[in-house]
Amino acid sequence: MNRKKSVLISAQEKELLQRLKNSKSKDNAFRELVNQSKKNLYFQIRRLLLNHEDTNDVLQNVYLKIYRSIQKFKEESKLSTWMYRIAYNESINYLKSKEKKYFFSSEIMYNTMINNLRQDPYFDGDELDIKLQGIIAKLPPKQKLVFQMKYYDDLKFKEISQILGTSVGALKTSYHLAKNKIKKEISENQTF
Amino acid sequence: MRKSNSFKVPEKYFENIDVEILEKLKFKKNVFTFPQNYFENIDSEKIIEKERSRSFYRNLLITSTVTTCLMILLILNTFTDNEFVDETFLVNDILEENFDYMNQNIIINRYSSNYIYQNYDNQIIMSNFDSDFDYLTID
Repeated sequence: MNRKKSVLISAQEKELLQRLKNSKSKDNAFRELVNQSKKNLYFQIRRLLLNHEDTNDVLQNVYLKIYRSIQKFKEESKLSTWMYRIAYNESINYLKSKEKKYFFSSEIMYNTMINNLRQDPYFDGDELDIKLQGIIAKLPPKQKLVFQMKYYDDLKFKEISQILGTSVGALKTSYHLAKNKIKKEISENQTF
Repeated sequence: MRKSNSFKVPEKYFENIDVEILEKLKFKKNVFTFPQNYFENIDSEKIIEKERSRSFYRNLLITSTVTTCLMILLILNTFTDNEFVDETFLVNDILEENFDYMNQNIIINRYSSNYIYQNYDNQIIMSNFDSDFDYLTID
């Protein structure tokens, strides 16, 4: 039986969606959506790409995709979850294209990204923060994403499951593994 | 020599240090900064404009590609060698009624087409109305 997944969408979100899908009110509603979501989306992308310029490029593309494909949104998840998924896919594609463009392996690319943080004028962390970013960057992709979504964005496992298309059980395992790896690495690197 | 345990630490301090560091980092989430007024300058109008110009250029590209393809097909069709009918075979065919050429575009050489034939007592008159009443009579 083909049942539509039920999600709790607030009345406000429903109204915004209706306006987004109506060609007459689309532009105004889109302006509202951008204002509501730009900070969240920016930081979601930034945690994956680490650098401001790349994040800015990807953010623009994410909004272009949202504007273009809002009609195809089936409302089987929250609008924010759908947007998060677009942001995640765009960021991963951007990293892959960067790897291909510069003939980098993933490891070299992440090392370069972490080293660049030291000179980045838009990074306000100390060595411990850089170390944490380095440890997170080297986690396997799924563990990294689950950890970031849970740790920084406080998303529920159910929401993460909708974004990544993985079962809640598998996500809990990934999160547990990621957390343990980070704890272990931090303890090993800590000097007293 | 100073004993290593001359400084006391809280119970389970070292077991929990990693958790404390993670907690500290969690509260300091904003390590990533951005240019001043960055978010104020994110303009949805620019994004909409960009999408519109992109759609315009995409449609233009599709239209020009389709037009080019059609032109190539037309050119190929125009310059394709038409099969033309050998006069002797044509006359024989008509006379022996092997093939009904009526209502057919008969091309008897590369430069002529649309010959209509009439058969008067074994005299074939081919008339081409495309080129100023060009008659070809074959006995």
